[in-house]
Amino acid sequence: MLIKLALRNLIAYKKRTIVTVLLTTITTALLVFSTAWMDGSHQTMIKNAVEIYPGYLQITADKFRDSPSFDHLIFDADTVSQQLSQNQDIATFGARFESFVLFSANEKSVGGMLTGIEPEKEQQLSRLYSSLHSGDYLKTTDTNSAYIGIELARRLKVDIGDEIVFIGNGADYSFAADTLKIKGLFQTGLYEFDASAAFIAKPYFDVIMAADNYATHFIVQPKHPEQTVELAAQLGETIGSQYQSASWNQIMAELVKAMEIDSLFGYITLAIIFIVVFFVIMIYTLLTVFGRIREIGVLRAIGTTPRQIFTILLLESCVLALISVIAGGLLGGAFAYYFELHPITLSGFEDQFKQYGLAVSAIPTAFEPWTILRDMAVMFTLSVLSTIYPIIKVNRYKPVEAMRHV
Amino acid sequence: MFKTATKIGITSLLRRRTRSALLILMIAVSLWGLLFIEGIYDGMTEQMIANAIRSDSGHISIFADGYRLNPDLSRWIENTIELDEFLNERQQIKSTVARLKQDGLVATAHYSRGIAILGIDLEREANHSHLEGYLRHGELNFGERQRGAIIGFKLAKKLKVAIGNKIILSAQNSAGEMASTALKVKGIIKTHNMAFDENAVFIAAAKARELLSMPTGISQIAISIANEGEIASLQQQLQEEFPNLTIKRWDELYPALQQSRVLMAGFKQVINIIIFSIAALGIFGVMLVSVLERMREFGIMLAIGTKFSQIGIIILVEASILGCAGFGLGALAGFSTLYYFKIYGLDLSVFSSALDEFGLDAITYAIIRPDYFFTALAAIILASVFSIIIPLRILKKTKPVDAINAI
Amino acid sequence: MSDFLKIQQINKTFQPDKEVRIEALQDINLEIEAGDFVVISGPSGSGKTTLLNIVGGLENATGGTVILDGQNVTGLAEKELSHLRRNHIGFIFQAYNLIPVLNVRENIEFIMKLQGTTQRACDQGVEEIAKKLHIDDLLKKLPHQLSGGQQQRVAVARAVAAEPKLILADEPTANLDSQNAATLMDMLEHLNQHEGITIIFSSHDPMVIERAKHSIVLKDGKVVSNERFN
Ligand SMILES: Nc1ncnc2c1ncn2[C@@H]1O[C@H](COP(=O)(O)OP(=O)(O)O)[C@@H](O)[C@H]1O
Ligand SMILES: [Mg+2]
Repeated sequence: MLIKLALRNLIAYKKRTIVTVLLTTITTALLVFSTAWMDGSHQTMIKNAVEIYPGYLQITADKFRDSPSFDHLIFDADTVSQQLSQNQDIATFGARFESFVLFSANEKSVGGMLTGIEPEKEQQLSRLYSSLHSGDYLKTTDTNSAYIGIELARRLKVDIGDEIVFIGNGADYSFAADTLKIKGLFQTGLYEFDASAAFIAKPYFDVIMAADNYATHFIVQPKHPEQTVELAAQLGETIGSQYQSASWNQIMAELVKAMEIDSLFGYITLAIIFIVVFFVIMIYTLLTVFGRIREIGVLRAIGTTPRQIFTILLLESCVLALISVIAGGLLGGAFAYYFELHPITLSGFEDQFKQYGLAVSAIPTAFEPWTILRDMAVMFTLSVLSTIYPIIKVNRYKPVEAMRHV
Repeated sequence: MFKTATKIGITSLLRRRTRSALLILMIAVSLWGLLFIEGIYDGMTEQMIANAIRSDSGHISIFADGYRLNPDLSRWIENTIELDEFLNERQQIKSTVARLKQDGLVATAHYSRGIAILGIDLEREANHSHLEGYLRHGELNFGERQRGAIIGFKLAKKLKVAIGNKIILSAQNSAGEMASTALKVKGIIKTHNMAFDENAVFIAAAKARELLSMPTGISQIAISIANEGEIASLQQQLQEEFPNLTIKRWDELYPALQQSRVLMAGFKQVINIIIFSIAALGIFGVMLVSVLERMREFGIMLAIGTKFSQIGIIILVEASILGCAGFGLGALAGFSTLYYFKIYGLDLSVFSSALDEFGLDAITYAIIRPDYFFTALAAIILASVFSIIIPLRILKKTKPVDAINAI
Repeated sequence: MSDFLKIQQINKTFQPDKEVRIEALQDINLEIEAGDFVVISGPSGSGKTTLLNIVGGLENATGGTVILDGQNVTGLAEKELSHLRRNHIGFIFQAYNLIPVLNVRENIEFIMKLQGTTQRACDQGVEEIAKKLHIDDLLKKLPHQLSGGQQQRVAVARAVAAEPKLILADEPTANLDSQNAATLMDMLEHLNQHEGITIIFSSHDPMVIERAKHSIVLKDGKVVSNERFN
């Protein structure tokens, strides 16, 4: 009976119904889509940042993260390698040795990072291989062939086939220098990286840098990247106390935090829109409820309890909120789904993105049913809550006062 | 007429106190939130820009032709006397600094990194970019024998060096040979310009000349001027006077920051439109119901000879009172909030490491621009006027007799 | 026969402003028997509505007690009052006051539903009442599709549906023409005689007043006449 009355009222008082449904629907859709957009762009940024080079999981010597000097290297890479190869949850892994050197060519010298990698394994570990711009990628058997960033080549004014010289320290702090021949150029889109990084095959690197069986770190590609954190914890236990394992959210803690703060500001902005929306819903509820105050007085007079009146009015709000939240969720979800499949391309803002370490301009939204349901629940609650004040207020009237109310 | 209308308006607004209060509150709260967003977000954007201008580009930077593409020692500004004279004559110029810049390598006993070496005149630099505001540790002093260096906090962190530690700088000199020098870290700065915090080592200009074997020449002159409006004209004058130098405005050097500004302006416009459209819907609902409820009252007024336009004025006055009260309250709250954050700043140091990523300080100082308030006032007046159009049309369609008979 | 409704020393003062005090009812003492058919008359503003509201528990008295069927109405809490009104008192208003969004059938069964009556019992009850009050062909209509006389008959049906001991009707015929007013009075009389429901109504229409068994006249908040006809 109460439900029937509530539904009839919603149909009879169309203005409030339409405004409430419209506003709540649009707001829900806005929230759902904004969340999908923010999550999507953050995931893209992080995925990019992680996959281009740093990787999902890194193994280093215990003190290396705090004090990355050659005193804290992995001095027995083979043992670590053996241990890692026994783990079922690891897809691939590879060792790297990073060192900072001075590159020079054509009377130009530029500081940068020279890294020894395992070329075949690296294909699965980072986007170095897929970022090939011109020339060729490295092979394990390569000797003094280098694979360098396109911006670095530009700074040194060199191209494929040209030679560059590097000067740096070997793993034993001895002076190390050699001439490298450029075999290939890569372009990841991350300016900083492209302007400073060069790679050579690790076997040859080990020879010239006195780094045999050493590594600065191992990169581990989990079978299930979404379980990286668990895998990192598990490896941390098994691999021995002289080593440390860190997942991407530790390695890139600042980026993760930056994304959080970006979301925070996004939500603050949305919150202000929501406040206005809910004031409007409150006002329309107030107008409708008070437009019906005589009727409510009569209901009270013939024996309906305040609680039953409260139930009727609350039911109305709930029905409205439910309809709108479902509609808004579907609408926002549809957009989120569509733009996940067809990422939004923001060409013209690449500079802006590069500033935040984003190498692409196509950003897919993140369509996540649970997040959408969460947003819908939030909007439902807010929408219903915003009608509570008018409902309580009208219920405080005595039956006669209500019937006499003008 | 207006007096009567105001009186009738106020009386009827008071009769429906809850509703009026709620509407005023809605306008006030939305305006407050809007002003907060605008002031804080603008504060952040301008801070990023100001940091870049202060620490690097100035409002205008001068380079030798071709230096921007190939920043090497052969492309330095050689004859600076004429340029200095020209710059000294301009009243609008607040300060200028000259910098020597060369890519190099910084190394400690255990660690090395590619960086930019910047030879500066500390006194002029301090005056130009208020370096003391950026200082985090140590002092702004290269020492008597100019063997000190000032580095960015991120670089310090990466190199694991503290005040007093030794670093070794290596770079290619004008003869194409590698030259090195050992220096002591005297100061650590945080400019929030990533290029500097992570990748720059400041040393005395004289020291840089010695290291690079460059007795003369300058790689960059940064100019900061009093009035931002004159940037473009000064750029033009400079270009005309010195056709063989590259003259760049800050927004040409930092296109991403300029984009941020454009993006932010667009973003604010969208938020403004969204919020005021929703608010207009609220005002509309209240005005519509208030007219419908008073059909009888207005019918009687029409019947006794009140003109329709006069009733229109009464309703408009009512809507305006609501709008203006909301605006007044919201503007006051918004202004006080922004004023507080303008003076004391919004402290986000909880997120400080993340803010670094954006080139932001931990404390954001709000900006208050008069146009926030003018836009809002215009929008609210517009919303009030629009909100009464439909109610008035309904009223016009109703005949006085019907209105009186309607319950 | 013991008294069904006792009104003792009822006072009601309205104070809409600090300066204004309206003595709407002063020292009202009345006794009404079960099965009585009472009219309260008197000029406009004499306190008829106020008295009926106090009896029905819609308004609190400033002083005095109302005892309905042994229960002290004046001391009840809001929830108990709702219960009392729902189960023991039927109301008929001058302005009909049907629920606009419900059709006639739903209006009538509304209170039955609140009482927890099953759908079948409701249907049965509604049919019965509708037949008795000659509104059985209106059951599917909405209030705004009915004439004033029809609406008031539905209002009577709604009041009766809860099987109350007492019906309170505040100027039920004021908005009706004499024809419809007579029909309505026939109905109320019928309910009083055949169902034994006590009915108290207010009016200032002489034609209506003369049909009552018990006449109370108010003036300026005081009882000026109280007589029973037989
Ligand atoms: N809520 C109220 N506030 C102030 N005065 C009231 C109120 N209700 C009734 N009155 C006053 O009480 C007196 C009795 O009113 P009422 O019972 O409605 O008379 P009747 O129904 O006989 O016309 C009148 O003077 C009326 O103005
Ligand atoms: Mg009356």
